[in-house]
Amino acid sequence: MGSFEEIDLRARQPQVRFGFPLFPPRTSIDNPALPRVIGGGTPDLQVSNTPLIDTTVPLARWRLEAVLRVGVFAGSFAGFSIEYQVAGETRRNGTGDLRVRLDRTQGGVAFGVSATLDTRIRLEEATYRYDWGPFGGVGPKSWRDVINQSFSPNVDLIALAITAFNIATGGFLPLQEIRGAQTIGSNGAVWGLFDERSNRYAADNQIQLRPTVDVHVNVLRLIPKIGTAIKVMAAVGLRISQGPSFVFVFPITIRVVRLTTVDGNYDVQNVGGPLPGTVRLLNGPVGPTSPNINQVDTVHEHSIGFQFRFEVHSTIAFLGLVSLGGSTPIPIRLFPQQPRTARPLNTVFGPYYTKLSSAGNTAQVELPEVHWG
Amino acid sequence: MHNRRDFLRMLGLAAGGTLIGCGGSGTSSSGFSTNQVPNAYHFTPIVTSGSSLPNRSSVRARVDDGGPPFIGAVVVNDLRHICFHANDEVGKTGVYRLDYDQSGETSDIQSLLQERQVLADGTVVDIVSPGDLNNSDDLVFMVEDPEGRKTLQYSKGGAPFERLCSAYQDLSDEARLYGEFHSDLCLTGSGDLMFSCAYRNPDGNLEGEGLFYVPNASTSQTKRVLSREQLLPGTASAIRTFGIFDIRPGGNYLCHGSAAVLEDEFDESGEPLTYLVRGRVGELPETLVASPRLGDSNAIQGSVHMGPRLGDSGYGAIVQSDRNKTAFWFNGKKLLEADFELGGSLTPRGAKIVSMFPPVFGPNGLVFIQVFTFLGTEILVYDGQQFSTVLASGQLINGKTLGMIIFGALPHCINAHGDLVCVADFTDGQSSILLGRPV
Repeated sequence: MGSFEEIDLRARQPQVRFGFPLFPPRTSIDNPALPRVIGGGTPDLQVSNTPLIDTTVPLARWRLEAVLRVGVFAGSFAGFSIEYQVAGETRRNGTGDLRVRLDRTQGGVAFGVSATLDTRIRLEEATYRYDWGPFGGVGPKSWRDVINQSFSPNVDLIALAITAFNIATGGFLPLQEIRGAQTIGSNGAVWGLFDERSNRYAADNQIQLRPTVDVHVNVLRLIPKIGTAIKVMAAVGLRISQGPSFVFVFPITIRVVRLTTVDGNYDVQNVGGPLPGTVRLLNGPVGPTSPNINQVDTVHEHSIGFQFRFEVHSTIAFLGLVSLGGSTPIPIRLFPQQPRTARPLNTVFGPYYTKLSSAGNTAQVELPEVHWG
Repeated sequence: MHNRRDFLRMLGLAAGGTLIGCGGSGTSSSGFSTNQVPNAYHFTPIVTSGSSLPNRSSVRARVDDGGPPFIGAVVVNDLRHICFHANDEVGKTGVYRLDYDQSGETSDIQSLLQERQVLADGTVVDIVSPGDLNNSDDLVFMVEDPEGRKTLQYSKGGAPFERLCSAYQDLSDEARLYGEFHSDLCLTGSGDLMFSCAYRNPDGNLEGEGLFYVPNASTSQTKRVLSREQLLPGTASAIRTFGIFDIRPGGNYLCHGSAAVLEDEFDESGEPLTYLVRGRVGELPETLVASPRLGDSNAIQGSVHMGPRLGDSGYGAIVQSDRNKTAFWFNGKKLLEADFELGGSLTPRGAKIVSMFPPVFGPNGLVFIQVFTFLGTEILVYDGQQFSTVLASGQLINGKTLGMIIFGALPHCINAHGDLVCVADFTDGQSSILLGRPV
């Protein structure tokens, strides 16, 4: 019988940009991904120009024309880092027990959305001239602007959403600016949405991170020029609101599925362990085992549930007479695996396989200014 | 004195206002009347630009860059209490109340809400929604503070305002509010309230906008009437947002909003796909109007951008078919057409209609609607058979020529007595809240 005690496995000093990518390409249990720099802070920039409202409503002798567009730059990188300690024993019959403890896992995604809100609201009044001549009828029509407001602020929608949310709720969003990353677009930071869990394996035989953020706010009053225009429009009964509405939930479930010692590979059975926090090892090498094991490798399997929706909602209302509005999905692709679509997604990606080794020097890059949490 | 119209006008002058016969033509010698339509309306300016307001302020004297004296939001209830929005001489917006009696005598103006006022819950008033007033003198407004926080403020029977709820509050299992409030509200005579706000689903995640019903102002009983992603009846399309709605006692409601075709990858037109549904709280609604792309061939085809209106005698909506053309549909029947370029149906005075405001339901099955023509504007009344003109630009009120009228900016601008309120701009630059009482 072989045994091993307190072997640490980790991507040392967990950092947002070091660990395992959430979507490592072409992995299998026999070909797991190794820890590495995640994304390198070079987001996959995308540009999307999306019409929100483009409508004209004949209203009295006025014409309410509203054109709202949003241009979005977006980009992301995503991953998780993990560390834990293992101990256990292996037996001649190819079985054994594995205890995983002191686990600490951080995972999430860094993303940025920089938007240009291109807004034009015109309320025009028509003036008709009646022709009293022999043929009668209405003469040429001219237009006078009652309201003509247009603005195209270049804004970081996420930053504004955080501020608006904090003002509205007194709470906070679990988003953190990542200063070590490249900015997005011309006026957007990169924001990290993350979750952190400790000591979950002993309780659940798996680790689940659940980074979640959902927001529905009006950001217009936070943009100084628009804030003034809103008051001007309110004085004639026009009201406008606009802002992001996004839901982003991606539970990451991580399990150890293989243990490798000097004797060979063991499968890990994560259910039905003999004691809480202990999982069974199966299908290992049969025969004598090394008595003192001081180096192990582990392979993890992870899957990612993914709910994502990013929309911009807009409403223009004039008293109780007119209400133009909608919620327009913005086609933002945060991950290469995500279809290029504006539809809300609710799917599961994976499994993917990653590997930690107690022998390897897994910490390759440290960026101390970029901390998760 | 040549005819009945002249007689009525003389009577009006004697009474301190102006009597205007409900006629088919401005030059007709006989005012139109049926058993339902009043012979005439007695119009009195009850507040005028420059009038004194409480707190030593006054209504803005004229339209300028700071806004008009009255924005058009004015309602009246069966107790003969009028609630109106006004801008004062320094540009502060406010909501005021004015009462009148059967003879038309008015009370002093009371201030209900004013910009920069601090409410009991600490809310600093910055922007006030049009709001609503019911027959029990309950008042409700969406109040936005200078930082954009919205709260729903409710006054029971004219008592001081209290916060009913805020935009991030769990009211009931069905109403876990989480996001922006819509500014539009509707209140029934029994104190039932309808509003729209973003909400969270049972998983605790943002779902989108919902339409909510609060029976008798009891927020713990709040029900979600319609939800984002709910299938629009008769279509393969899903509701996305809500616009303006109207509700009657008993939970009958009407609501318009935007929807999306489920299988459509992405709509790049920017033209919102709209719907109008009618329903009763707790029951499935029916689709009355839908944009053609939403795919309900049984519904009236068109867009609904204007506030739909619900009355005891049915529903009315303005349906838009292109950027110039609108039509007034009443209980599924097209009654009037408007064309912004060419003109549409003729008014009783023979003017071509270019556009319309939403209808307003009056007593005795009468339906009022303001139309705009190449010649000006008219308030029409429909008695189930034909239209008559109640008031038109160019007419004289207390010796001043009427220019622009805004009538029907809110649904409750006629009471059970048939009294109507509107905002009138005169050609001399003055503006007034006009009270019209049937004669």
